[in-house]
Amino acid sequence: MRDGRCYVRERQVPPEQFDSLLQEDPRAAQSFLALDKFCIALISSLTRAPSLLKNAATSLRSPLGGLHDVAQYTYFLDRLLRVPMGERWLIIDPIHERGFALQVSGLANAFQVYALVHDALVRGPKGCDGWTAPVAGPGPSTEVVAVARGDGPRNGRGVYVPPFTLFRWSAVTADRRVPDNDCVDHWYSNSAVPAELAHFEGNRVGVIGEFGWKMEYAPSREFSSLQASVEATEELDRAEVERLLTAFTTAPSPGQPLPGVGWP
Amino acid sequence: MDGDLDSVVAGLLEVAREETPGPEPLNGLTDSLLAMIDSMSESEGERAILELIDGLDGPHPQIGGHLAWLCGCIMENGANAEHMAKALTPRVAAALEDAGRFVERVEALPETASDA
Repeated sequence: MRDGRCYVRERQVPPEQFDSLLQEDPRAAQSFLALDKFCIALISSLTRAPSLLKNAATSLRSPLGGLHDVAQYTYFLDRLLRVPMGERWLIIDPIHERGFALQVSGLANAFQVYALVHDALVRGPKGCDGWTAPVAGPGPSTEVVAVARGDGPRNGRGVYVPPFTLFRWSAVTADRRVPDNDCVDHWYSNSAVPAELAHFEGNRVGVIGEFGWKMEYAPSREFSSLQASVEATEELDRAEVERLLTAFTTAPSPGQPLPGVGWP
Repeated sequence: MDGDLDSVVAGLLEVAREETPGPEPLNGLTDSLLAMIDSMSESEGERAILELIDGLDGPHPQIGGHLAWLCGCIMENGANAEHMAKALTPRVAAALEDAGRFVERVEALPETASDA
């Protein structure tokens, strides 16, 4: 409702038509008007009980279907249900032929993806002596990590500039390089949700590359109560990295993700 | 739960189950409940949520949504989120299915000059 009038997407439902639809199917009309309140309550509870997110996504995927844009909080519920929980991601560095497996949970926006992948790559797998980080310089600041993980305030001060850029695996060319500058077709952009990294052989894959622009993020979490974590679990064998790089160049492209939706 | 909270929750459930509820009792009870949240203990909050969740399936989905929102307000104060998430998920699924019928009906209506 806006200004006392009912809208479905941008279409205003004239009051007499709304009354007629309300008479015809009161449950449907009232449920439409109640969507935001139901969704706010569910978002509040699921972000505090994230172990239930996967099951909720299974139950709600079909009824939420094409309704993500009919109310403000159906949009946010849809985004919440796309948050990865306990996923295995691979980060591949084609220039140095290195690859890393990460365990990922609770990320909802690109700031969290960049900040926590950066942090995990700098820290390396637990108990790994003599770790050489694949990215130059120090990790993100303690404050940036706290905002991204949900250990700090929802919004941080200043800006975070990741020292690398992620691309989808489809950016890798036959000479095993990620095209630099302006490769926007495969770029994991600063507005992308985590699900906009495509799967390859069952794992979401991010490829480290160079980009003409430096991305700047105002540190911020989308869901204030949802805890996020990214941990490096292992460095892949070089032979496995080589196999993947070759396989990327011959596999059918996943195409372009739907912005804000990606691939389930 | 203290007596005041019990009676406010009972009042809200009564409104939720009425066939033709008026807005005034709902507004008054809502204000009373919101005023109690800060002083509610975690266990009081959980019990209030569990009772209010029973009212979500009443004859008026808008009031059901309102009670769900109130449960969310109580939970922000520290009550167990798992109970609420488990109870709410099927209710939200049902509300989405019902709302989907409304959206379909609206989109099937002929466009009027004001849509352009």
